[in-house]
Amino acid sequence: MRASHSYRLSVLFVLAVVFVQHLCAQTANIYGVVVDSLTKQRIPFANVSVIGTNRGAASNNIGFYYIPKLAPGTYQIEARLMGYVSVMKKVSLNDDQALELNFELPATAIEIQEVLVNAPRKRLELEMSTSVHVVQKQELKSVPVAAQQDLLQSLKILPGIVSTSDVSSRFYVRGGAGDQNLFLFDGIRIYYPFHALGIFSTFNPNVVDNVEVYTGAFPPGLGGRLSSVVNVLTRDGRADKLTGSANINFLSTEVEIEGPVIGSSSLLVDARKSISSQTYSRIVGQNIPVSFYDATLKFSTQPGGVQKFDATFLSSGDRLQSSSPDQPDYSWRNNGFAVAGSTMPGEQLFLQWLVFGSAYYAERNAKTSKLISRASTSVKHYGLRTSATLYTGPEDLYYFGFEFGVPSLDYSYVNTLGMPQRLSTTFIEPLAWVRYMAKYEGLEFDGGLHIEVGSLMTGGNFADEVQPRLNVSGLLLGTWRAKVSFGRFTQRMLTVGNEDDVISIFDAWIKVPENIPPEQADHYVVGLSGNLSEQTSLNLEAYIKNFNSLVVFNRDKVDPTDPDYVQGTGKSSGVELMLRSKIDWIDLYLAYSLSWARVDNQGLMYYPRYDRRHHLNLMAVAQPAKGLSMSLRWEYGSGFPFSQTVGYFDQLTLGNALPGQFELENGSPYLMLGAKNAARLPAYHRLDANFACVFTLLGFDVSLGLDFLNLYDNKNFFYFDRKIGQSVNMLPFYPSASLTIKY
Amino acid sequence: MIGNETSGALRKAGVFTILIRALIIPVLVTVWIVACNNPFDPRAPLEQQLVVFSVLSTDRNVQFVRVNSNYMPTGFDPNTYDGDNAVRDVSVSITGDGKSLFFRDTTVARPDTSRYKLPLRIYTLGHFVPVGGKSYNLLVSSPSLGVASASVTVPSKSVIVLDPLSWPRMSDPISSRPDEVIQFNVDLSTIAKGYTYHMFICYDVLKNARWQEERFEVPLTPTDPDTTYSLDRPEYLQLTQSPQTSKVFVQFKVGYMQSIIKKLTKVQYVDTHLIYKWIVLVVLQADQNLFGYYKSLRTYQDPLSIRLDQPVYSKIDGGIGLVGAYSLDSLTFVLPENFNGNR
Repeated sequence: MRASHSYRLSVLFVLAVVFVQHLCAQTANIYGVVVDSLTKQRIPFANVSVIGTNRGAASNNIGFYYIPKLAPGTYQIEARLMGYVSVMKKVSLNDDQALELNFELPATAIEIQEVLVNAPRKRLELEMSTSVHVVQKQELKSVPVAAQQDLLQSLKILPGIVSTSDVSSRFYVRGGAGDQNLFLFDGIRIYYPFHALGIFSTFNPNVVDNVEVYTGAFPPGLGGRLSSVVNVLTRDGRADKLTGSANINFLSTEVEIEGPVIGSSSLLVDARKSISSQTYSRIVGQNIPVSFYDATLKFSTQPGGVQKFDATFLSSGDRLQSSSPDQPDYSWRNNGFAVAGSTMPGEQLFLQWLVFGSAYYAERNAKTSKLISRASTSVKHYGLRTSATLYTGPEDLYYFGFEFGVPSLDYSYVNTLGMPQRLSTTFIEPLAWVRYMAKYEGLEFDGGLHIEVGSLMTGGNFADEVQPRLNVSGLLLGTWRAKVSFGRFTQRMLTVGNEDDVISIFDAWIKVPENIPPEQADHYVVGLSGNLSEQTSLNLEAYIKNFNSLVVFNRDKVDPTDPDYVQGTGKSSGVELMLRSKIDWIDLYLAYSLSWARVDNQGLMYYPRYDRRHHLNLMAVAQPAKGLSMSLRWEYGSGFPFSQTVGYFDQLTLGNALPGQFELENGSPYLMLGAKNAARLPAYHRLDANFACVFTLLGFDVSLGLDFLNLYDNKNFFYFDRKIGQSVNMLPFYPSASLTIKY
Repeated sequence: MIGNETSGALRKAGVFTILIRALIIPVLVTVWIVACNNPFDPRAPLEQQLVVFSVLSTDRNVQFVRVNSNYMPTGFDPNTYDGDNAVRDVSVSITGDGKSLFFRDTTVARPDTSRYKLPLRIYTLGHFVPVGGKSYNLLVSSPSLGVASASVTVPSKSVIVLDPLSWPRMSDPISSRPDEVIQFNVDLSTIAKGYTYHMFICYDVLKNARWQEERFEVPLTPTDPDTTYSLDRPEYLQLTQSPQTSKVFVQFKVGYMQSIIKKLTKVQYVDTHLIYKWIVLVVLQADQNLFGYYKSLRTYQDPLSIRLDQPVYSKIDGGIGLVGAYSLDSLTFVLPENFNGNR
């Protein structure tokens, strides 16, 4: 019932605006695609501008641009992007003409520091938004990591993203839980994006073109999670010649082949496989016999015009096999596909469609373990997604679409009584969205509605299921821009686990229990960004995130008929600062977050274990000579919350049955904890270095990388075993190397 | 104008460059300072509090209260702690049903001395049977550790009725069909949060020229029905949540009674005298506190639970532990002298 009247009015308003815009008269339009002149790969986020006017557009994530409503006349159109030579074309436009104008940009050598600091390759709509980061492959590779480059590990340098350990890629965004992040890989939903218990991700940086990371108030079309969206977009294979590369590092070996196939099509195949679990065991300080593989295949074709079709396949698997019969074995598998297409079915309308499917399966084989039981979980999610961009005016457009998804969740386990249990759910998840983006002088508006149609039709709360998303920014002075955003989000799936576990090995997905409304959160963000100088940019954001509904443990559960979970609430807030600067040939990056997160479990207020008050990332990337790059990264994080041991008492067990004279028994020691998560662990800090050099040897392009993690060997606290009184630390000083040979 | 703007921007760039350069040194110093590793201990100083255990019961005329304090072992393994946790300056009283009574401090031998060697200190109250349906307030007062108190309401007496159709099956189970049911209708107290029941066959057996009284519990029908009525893996009822109607239909299969009688008569006591005396159904009703505590101890026996934490249930103000109550009622069915199996 919350403000449902105003939401209905909002829907009507948006529809009315769409209709009125359609009535407007049309003039000449220019559209086309921007591609790499050599490889024929589409170039996202290129700037296409009409020289001598203030008109222009940025190419979208598949290289398409559209400049509507130009007056008839002769123009010079320029396409430019850092790393490419600018190309200018002269065109004459007649009244009502729609001109297809494609650009082929020759590449220049991309220097890492330029990309890192200046990074103009961002979609126009992203620049005005809060809480969004576009990370490109060059940036991913400049972050020092253990053994091999990793996408999710690299994202941890972004403000608002917190990880609770070195040995896990799992992260927590702005006070949200670990299962509140949506991972998309070319549109494929990935439910377990981790390798090796989480230390690496299944996303191979070598096949990634760019990653959009939404840490809050994400736009219509993205939903189903409360905290973040990580949208990984892969690159196309080269369409000009057959090339290949091989990489070996301390952990895995990788082979990649790409090249043209039939006509204007290209193929990219990349496969990785672990070669030794010794490296991983050294990283985590324990013998953990883990092995993994992943493979990505992408077929792309551009049949002509602006049309493009892609087919992406992803397969990954992990296995942890213990030699001890008392230790369980684990296995994880991810398989997925996405078939996508884009075309222009009519004037001013650009259409994209996607058929996707993913299957995640994990199994825990308890073997003879008496402490851990057998369990398996699977998530299958198939769907169709269609979106359309309607270019209605010189400075405005509509983006709308729908998605029809069918997630199917299954969790089978054996309880300690030896009874097999199964939770199985399949439901239909239709979504629709409409988004309007407009510029008026210095003011930019991006707003719309994200509608959970399925839930709305089945009696969901209108105010929860019709979710407003709003992003407004205004130019203040010079380059300084003020931003404000709001978004409402719901989530219907969660992972089963103990939120206090140090590391979660087995993630089982279930649907939010029927007795609890879906998880729901509102994001409020304000921001300020601009250039402090020509070489220094700053982005400052403050946010409040109200978790109006969370699924939390039922602390008063006594009987099996009592629900395991009940409804809770939460709140997080914080301030984030991101500073980028360039001094001579050194690029500096600073990201600082000050944040608070609280969970309210039916009156019990506590800080979740991933609540980190201060988080600082400093990074410097230098390229002192051509082909040589170095980076230094220092991370500081204040301590995570934990519950202190405040004593023990001897708990009488009441024997096996009542009645009985249990007053005489000794009882068992019961650990008494203080106020939940009221104390703090020691702070975390670590200095890492990376050296990379690229040279030619015997006609091969050779790339050599050296990473040194935790240079001053800080004893970063991982966990403390209260029973034996021993603390276990995270990653010690750890050197690693990688070698890549390209032909 | 353009030239002025450019030079201004350059001047600006210079200022920020200098600022950033100036920041590098403090950052490095900060790194150096915070790089010091501090020892970590997850333990907070022990805040002693009263640990109270008492379960009032209607089946005895002596009630007990255990009063201890919590403790912190010097090491990290609590099982190595064997100190004296008894609180010596305690007065324990109970108020309810118009009375206020004090418990007496007593010492009894500890049955299990594997960990603690000292005798047990227990507070006892003799000649006191709590009354069903009445509320009692237990007060534990210690000058050194403060006051702990808890309220408990004793469940009222339950009403147990044997279904008339079950009478002949009780009198002569051997002649009945094994799949026939013996049923009791039980009206529980509305106060009771949980209940359990047990049915016993009671008999006298002659051992070494002396009659001895023994009993054998009749198991429940398992989830997967067993037509052989085997006694190898018997199942008994755990404490279970009371239904909202407070009415329970208690059922046992005759087949299990037959298996018990056959086992006793033909296997266990083949060459001796055996007289079956009666069959008794015992119904235990637990109050909210006892039921909650019992269940919290057995979280992992919840066959449906998917949660992984381990809760503790304690409703004592100023302390921790359990102050609960149960009532015990029974119905006895006297077996005929010519019971099939008597020897």
